[in-house]
Amino acid sequence: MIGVLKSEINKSDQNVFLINSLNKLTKETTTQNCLFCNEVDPTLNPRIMTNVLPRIHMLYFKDILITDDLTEAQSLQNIPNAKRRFIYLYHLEWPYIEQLSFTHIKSILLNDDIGLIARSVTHAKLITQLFKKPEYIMPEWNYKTLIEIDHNE
Amino acid sequence: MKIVIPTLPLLITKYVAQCLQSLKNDNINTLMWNSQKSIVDVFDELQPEIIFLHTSQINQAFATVCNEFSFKYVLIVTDQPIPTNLPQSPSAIIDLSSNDSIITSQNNVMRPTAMANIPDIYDARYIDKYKSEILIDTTFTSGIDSDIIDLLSYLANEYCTKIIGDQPVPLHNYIGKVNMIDRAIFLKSANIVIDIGANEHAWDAAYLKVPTLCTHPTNSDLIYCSSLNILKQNLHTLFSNELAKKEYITQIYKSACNNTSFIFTSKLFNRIGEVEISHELLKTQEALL
Repeated sequence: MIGVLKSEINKSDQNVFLINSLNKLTKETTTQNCLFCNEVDPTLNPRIMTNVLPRIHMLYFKDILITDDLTEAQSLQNIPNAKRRFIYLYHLEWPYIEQLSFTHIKSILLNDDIGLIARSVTHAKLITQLFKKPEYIMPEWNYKTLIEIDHNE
Repeated sequence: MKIVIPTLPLLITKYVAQCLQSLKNDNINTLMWNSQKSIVDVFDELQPEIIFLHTSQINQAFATVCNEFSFKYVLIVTDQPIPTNLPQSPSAIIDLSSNDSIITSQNNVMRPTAMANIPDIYDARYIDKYKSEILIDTTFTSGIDSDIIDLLSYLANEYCTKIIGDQPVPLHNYIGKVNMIDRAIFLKSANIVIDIGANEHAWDAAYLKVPTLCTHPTNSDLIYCSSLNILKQNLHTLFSNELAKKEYITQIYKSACNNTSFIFTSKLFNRIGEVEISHELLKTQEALL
């Protein structure tokens, strides 16, 4: 089962791809999935057709947890029950963080217990140079890669 | 012996304090003084035998403590001139002024240049996760202009480059500010360190036996690259010619061992007549080599 952790779901391209992919998994495949999120934009199109749970429930989640948000990724290291934890570096956003400290990056992107997912081969090359080799390459929340992750892990 | 050093935003006071605190001697007590606290309170509470002072701290309160206490002091001069009516002469002057003409007549003046600061890096070790072909630390860089961005962009495109430091750079290879321990590990885990600032990183790298290139003129032992083309040529040599790289490492390591914060602090204490502390500083460095 795939669980996705988000701080909020708004109308960004990233979120639209995510919701499309989760909806596809729900409608067309047997891969179970859910979304941990406290805020969802009510005008979002497409509508979310998977289970949306309050973020606090991620603490009891026992399967594969993925987040594409570096702020949320900070909490990944403290989630005790998840079978696997992944950071999907959708946007290579760390240089834009004000007062960026390597200590924060180190605890998530160099954490042996947290896997990385890249969005493209080019991103994967940079991420490998700077941190570690991504375990998967998933273009724009591609649902087929989510199925692959679910099968492999 | 109580030695008081003010918490000024100057590297040299940090270096001296770190070297003194590295000494395994219970009789030497090095204390950092919050410069906002009155000098009278510092003397009332601590009665230091030696104190470091910046020219901006020479005031009426200083004249009062000169009358009431017996002590030596080291005067730190930046670009502010030395007051003419000093109530007591300094035992030594550390000249950090950009203008050479501020102090000419005094013979107890020391003018520090970039040096390897061993207390910051003595525990450095190679860690695979931190490795890079090229490492750049942006701390102490006076300004990131378009020339530096061009240089960094070239390096980021051509090599596995990591950029760390206090000054953010608009490149994905910038991975943030680092603490002292992480910085030392990054330096030791790099293939080549390029110093784009005042050469402090270059000397630390040299001490850690990591080849280094500088973009600002420095000691003749370190390779100075005045243009991107020269930098490219030197990088090519260091990456392709193992023998030349080894020879360069040997040369700069030897030079770095003779240009450390321990040696500077030792000379400073020798100059102010504290020969025992001076010898102890040299012994501490020898033990760390």
